[in-house]
Amino acid sequence: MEKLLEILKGLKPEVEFEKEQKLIDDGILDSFDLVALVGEINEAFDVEVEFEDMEPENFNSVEKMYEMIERLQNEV
Amino acid sequence: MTINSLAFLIFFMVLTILYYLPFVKKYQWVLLLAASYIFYTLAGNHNLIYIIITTIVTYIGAILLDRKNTIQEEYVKAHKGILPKQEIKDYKEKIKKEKHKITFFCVFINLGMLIVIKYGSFLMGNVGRIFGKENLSDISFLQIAVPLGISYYTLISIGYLLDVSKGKCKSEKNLFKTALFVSYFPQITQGPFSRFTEMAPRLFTSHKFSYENLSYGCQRILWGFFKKMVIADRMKPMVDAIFENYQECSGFSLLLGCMYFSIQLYADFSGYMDIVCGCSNILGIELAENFKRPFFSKSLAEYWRRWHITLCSWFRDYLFYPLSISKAAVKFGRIGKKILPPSIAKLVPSIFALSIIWLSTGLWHDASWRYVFWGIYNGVIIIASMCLEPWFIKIEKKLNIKAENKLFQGFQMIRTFLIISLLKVFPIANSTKGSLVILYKIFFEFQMELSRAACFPTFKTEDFFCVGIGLLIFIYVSFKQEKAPMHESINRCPFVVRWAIYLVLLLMILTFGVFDTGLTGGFEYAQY
Repeated sequence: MEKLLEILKGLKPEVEFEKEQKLIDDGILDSFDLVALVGEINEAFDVEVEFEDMEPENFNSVEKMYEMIERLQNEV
Repeated sequence: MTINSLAFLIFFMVLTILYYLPFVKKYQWVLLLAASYIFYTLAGNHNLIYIIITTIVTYIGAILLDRKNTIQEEYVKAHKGILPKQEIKDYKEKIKKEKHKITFFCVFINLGMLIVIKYGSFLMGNVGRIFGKENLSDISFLQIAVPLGISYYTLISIGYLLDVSKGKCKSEKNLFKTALFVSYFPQITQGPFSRFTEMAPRLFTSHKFSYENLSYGCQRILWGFFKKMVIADRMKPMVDAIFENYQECSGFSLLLGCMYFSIQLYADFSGYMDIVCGCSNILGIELAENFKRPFFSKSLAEYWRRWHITLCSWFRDYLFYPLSISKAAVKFGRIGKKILPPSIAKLVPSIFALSIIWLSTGLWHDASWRYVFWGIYNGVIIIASMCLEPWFIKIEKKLNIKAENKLFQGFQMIRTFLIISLLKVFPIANSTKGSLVILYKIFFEFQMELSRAACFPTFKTEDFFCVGIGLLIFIYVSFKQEKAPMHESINRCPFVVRWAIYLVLLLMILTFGVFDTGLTGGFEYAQY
């Protein structure tokens, strides 16, 4: 989780990611941020986020993102 | 039959009465399907074969994709913990490939029809020009009249197929219900682009008559007609006069013309949306919002999040995301990391996807070079502003400009309005050459002239009065809507005030509106 928070802080230092639950719905992360984030997640966690995973519910909070990463890691 | 005709109002009133008859309640969706096909035919489409093919292909494709999802789910459930993870993963890969084949086939048929009908002449014309055969675009099968709404229902259908493939929704097992989703009349000619997950529960369930829906729907219809008839249709002759004689106009008049066209197009397109959303509300079916006061945008990227929202979100979800996380985008991203500063390198996959998307969005609007240029213009500005953002922030800090400064925000809004107005040289001209001549004149033959003939050609005193009042009300309502939905404020008013607002609006439409649809035509966006 810390590694993920580090990536997010690098992307948007001004956001308090631990508190946010609607990162996508509230427009805190836009589509360009999301694409940059997916690139970082793929590299850092050695997973492959795919088109099927590009849903707001997977990126609305740090917890949800981490859940998705764990799911993708377990699939291997 | 266009939405702003008397024939449509009669059609819609008859439909509403039938829709709420007690014995129709169970079959409301059947009535809607019949009404949608009647509307589609009356709108001038006597050839229904294309929409029927799209419906059947989408219906079968969705069922097959759904079946693959179920097979995979059952397999994983039965073998989880028994078989090695790798084996389950291989099985999922196999199913994924099969789903890709089904999706590709359906998209190929649906998109193929759109490409041949809408872009056949354009493509063959260009191929012919390269090989010195100018008449290639005259091939008879390419001369098919473009069916109304083909760009809309094709993308709506593809979106549904991709959602089923992702497992985001189940497929519809009833062919006629799929047909209704594809052809639902309020959205077929100009959108909005709806999603199956949102629309299915609204379209296929019975709706009770509700006074709130009727009242809200009528408010929106009235507001839509006000924007269309008082603002857009009154401005149209002036805009046409400027651009029909663009060779004689100065760059100054042409720039004004572009700004007028921006306002006219917004009043026209958002007016249409209000009318169809209002009609759909009366039927108890909420449609997605397509506009969020785009002229308040502080950048071109924000403008596209506020204008034609459902088209932009379609391109984002079904084209931008898959492209930007594709292998090619990742490859470009890796190269970018080696040679570019980190702030730009992280944007490379997005830039790769945006380049393709803006080209596609341009071609979606029309098969012509001027729309290719329009797409490139949009793409270049958005990509450049993304890359330059860190420098802009530095400059703002140095000049001590705060993002929340109202004056600075006003400057950003005016700058964006000028950019989007300049973009209008592409749709407004009747040829690519015309667009480029207009652009040249604006930049190199400006010649500012403040006479009435140069600034407001064909505009009579009554036009000034009607459009002036219309725009003042429009701007006031837009500011109010930025804070809270207007209908909520109206609903809080006492009965007498509320009805006074409706009556004034109706009277203004009757006295200030343009009723000659032969003169004004239908809606600007219907051509796409």
